[in-house]
Amino acid sequence: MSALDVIISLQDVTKVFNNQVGQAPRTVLEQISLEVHRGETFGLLGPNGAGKTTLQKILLGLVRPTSGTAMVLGTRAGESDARARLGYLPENPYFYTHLTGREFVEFCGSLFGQGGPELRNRVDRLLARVGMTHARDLQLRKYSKGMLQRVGVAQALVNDPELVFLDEPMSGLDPVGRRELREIILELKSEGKTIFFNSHILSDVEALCERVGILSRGKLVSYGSVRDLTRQGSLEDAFVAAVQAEASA
Amino acid sequence: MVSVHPPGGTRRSRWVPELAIVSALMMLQAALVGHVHVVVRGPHAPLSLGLELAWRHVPTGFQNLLADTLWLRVLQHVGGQLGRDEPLNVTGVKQALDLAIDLDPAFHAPVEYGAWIIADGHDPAGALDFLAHARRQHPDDWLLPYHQAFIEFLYRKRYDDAARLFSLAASMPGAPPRVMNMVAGMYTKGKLKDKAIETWWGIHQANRGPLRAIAARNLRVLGVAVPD
Amino acid sequence: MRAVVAVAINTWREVVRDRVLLLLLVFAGVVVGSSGLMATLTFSEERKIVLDVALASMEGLGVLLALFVGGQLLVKEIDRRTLYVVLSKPVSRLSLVWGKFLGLVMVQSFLVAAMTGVLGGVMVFTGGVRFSVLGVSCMLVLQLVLLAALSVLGSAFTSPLVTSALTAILYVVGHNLETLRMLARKMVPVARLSVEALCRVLPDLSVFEVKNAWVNGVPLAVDGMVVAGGYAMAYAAMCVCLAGWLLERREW
Repeated sequence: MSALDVIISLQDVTKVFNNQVGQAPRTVLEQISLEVHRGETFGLLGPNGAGKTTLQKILLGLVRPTSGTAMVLGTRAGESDARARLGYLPENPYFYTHLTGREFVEFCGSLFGQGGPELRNRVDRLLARVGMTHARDLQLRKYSKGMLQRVGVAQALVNDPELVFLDEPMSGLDPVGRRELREIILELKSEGKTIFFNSHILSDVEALCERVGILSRGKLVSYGSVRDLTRQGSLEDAFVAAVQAEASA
Repeated sequence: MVSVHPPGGTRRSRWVPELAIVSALMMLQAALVGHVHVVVRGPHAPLSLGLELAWRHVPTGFQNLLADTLWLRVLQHVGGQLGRDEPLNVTGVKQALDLAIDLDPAFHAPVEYGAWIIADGHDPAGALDFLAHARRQHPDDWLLPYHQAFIEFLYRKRYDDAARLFSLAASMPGAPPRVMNMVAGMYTKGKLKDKAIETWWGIHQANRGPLRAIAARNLRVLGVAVPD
Repeated sequence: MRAVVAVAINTWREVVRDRVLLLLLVFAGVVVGSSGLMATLTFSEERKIVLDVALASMEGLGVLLALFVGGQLLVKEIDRRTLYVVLSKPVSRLSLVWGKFLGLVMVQSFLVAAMTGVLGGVMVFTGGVRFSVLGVSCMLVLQLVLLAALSVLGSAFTSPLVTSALTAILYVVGHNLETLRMLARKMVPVARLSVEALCRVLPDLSVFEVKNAWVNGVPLAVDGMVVAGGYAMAYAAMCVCLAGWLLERREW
């Protein structure tokens, strides 16, 4: 695998939060090293509070690592060049409730320098792709959770990104919604996009990802291909074993 | 379809700033027309200032409006008494008018009418003091000593003080020549015949037309022969 | 620049769709109502009082908007996590702050312009229009721009309540710097120097106060307005850049 194929590279990334006066510093991530390759779907697993969202935020530049290096798309994580080529769906997205679905995705597109009829057509196509044409002129405050997730996917794709970050995309969705979102992710895979996928729903990760990393209490306790991890049992067995091993260490 | 409420901000919090804005506006309106004052204190209470006294020391760009509010309160307070045919109680009126012209020195109405309101309320000394305050702000306005002179004349019958003030007004820029007539008239009223004659004679010599004729007539009344 | 414009337009939409423009109706009611009321409340200088009420209302509503809306602009983004969506795109934090600020300025400017229009209409029926009222409105907008910048700066590092309180205090203090300087002259040297230094740093809002004199017939000084305009722009730019710098140092 050449260096050009490494889309995400983390080397000994540690993150310590010091922002509570009178309280001890909190180590959220400890010496995380991993790579994600172009075109693959990488799943980051872990129980609640393991540090998955923080790791994604470091890759997006929302948070700076205390030590270590984080590279995305060949540049330091958070650089404008990198952010111009990636898409992001946050966990439990709360978007601008005063905007309609269409206005919101257009706004996101304008942040990439897009505009005019070209953007409008692109947005209409994206909303059709995620099945939101019927509600595109409704204000987001009237959307259901599933509808917000779909619009969130649309805004994450508005710039036709090379790399897509999805933070717990299935959370709160009903089975039909989860099936439809899974199909969208498979479509993105078939287009050659790299997907970085946070989740604690193992069945989704097992179905969609080629490689996974398992975080527990800020440490990367397991990392490799799904095939290797499931050689001795299910992904759930591997997950529980890795987390329990870390807990007893 | 269920609306999703975002963390850290619910529908209710959107109403808080709106309620604050509407409440502030309503309070402003109430203060402007003195409703709060009337409701709390009743229509027969004297005019009294509380927090308003602090306005003098806190210029915020609303001085004009505050001065207007005070003037309207004075009018409503005095007008209400007149409307109910009550004896005029001007307690607090001078204080309100003093504050109004401190806040807005260019506000003419309180100066033009305020002194007369105070004098009508049997406080000519207060009226004179109020006009003295206005004169310190507008030292070149001939109307102010002119009004003071009338108050001395009509309310206190102090004709020599009235003559002095009319004379001062007459010497200021913009004062019309007829003001000297009042000087002479005050000397006459005060039984200062020599001074009256001297003043009328000066008016007679300095003017032509109606003023000269008036001066001639008054001189003849005082026993002075005046050629036609 | 494109990101700034996009955020500004989004902020405009956000504020307008929050029914802030109802304030315009409130203003129109106040001015039209007071102009009708003055005939029964006073017997002289009705027009002066109507102008005082209108201009004070314009300033009051504009200040309230800066206090309550400005103080929430950034905090809402953070609390609702819409910040993540914006900053994950090629938008700098400084651009975000500028966009928020300019969006608020757009709303304030529109409101003042509309209220000036209403006032102009009332002036037609109460003795004729004085077109120099546009100068008074411009000075009001400049003052509101400065207050908006202070609000945005506060919202970059503290809660909306504290931001509103601080901005309100700065609004009052900003109109009273001359009084502060006068008090400083009576202090011991160390205190005097500190207060005088503070007076140079705090925004001097008295330079924008022209409405009282204008109502009393004093003509507007164009050169003074130009200087005030430059001062407002420079001070506001300083506040917004400082807000951007503070936001750079925050993490979520």
